[in-house]
Amino acid sequence: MSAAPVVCDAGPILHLHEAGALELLALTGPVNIPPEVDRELRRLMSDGFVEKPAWIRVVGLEDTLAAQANLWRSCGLLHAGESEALALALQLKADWFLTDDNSARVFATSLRIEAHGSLGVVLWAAAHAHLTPAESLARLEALFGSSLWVSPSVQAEAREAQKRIHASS
Amino acid sequence: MGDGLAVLTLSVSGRTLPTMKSLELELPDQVAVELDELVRAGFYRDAQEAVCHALKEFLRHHASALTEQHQREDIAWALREVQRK
Repeated sequence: MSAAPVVCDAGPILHLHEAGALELLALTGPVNIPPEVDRELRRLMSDGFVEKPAWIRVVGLEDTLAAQANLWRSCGLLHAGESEALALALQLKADWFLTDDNSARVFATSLRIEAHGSLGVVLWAAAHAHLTPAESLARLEALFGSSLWVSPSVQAEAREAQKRIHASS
Repeated sequence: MGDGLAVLTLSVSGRTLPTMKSLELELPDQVAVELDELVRAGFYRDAQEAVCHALKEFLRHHASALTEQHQREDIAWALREVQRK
């Protein structure tokens, strides 16, 4: 588990939910989302995401960071949810920023915030022995079947990494 | 509309951006029905606008090389985590 809070945008929550692996996100630490991501999730996941898991906390932005997020959005650098999530990561001094969005990840890295995506969460859970080999492979395959795009070559590399992780643990 | 493909013509020239190209798409019937439902629900003015939005999102999300780079970084991260334990 990460020592500091984790901030997430809608992507990993949606993709891990589709893969039946949302519980893995809870293992990473206290997961925080800004109000805009909460709204996005309610719109996107009307098929049963009415009850938000208790470990996902909605945290409002302080005025200065809300203004910063609005600036990023209005300049077209990031979408609304990603802007707020990144601002929240700054506000909470988050250990990890979880996103599957390229722009948000590049932006986070430029702000020296460690960023990972859904694939990283699944393999991280395997690396920390939260999953058996069969469970981690099943989660990987389910993730590859979700709306997250993973190229065939990266899929193969991830399967190979999954084998190496369990072989060395 | 039968069980085959629905044809959607995107004739957008001059309405919003004069330099837009026109495409003719063949869509599975079910996709066409779902597009119509989105339009009826008021999310888009018409199917053309819905498809344009979908294509923009597709292009935004499929910056393939960068996506692969990020995912490979995550694979490497997990392998480092195993070593660190």
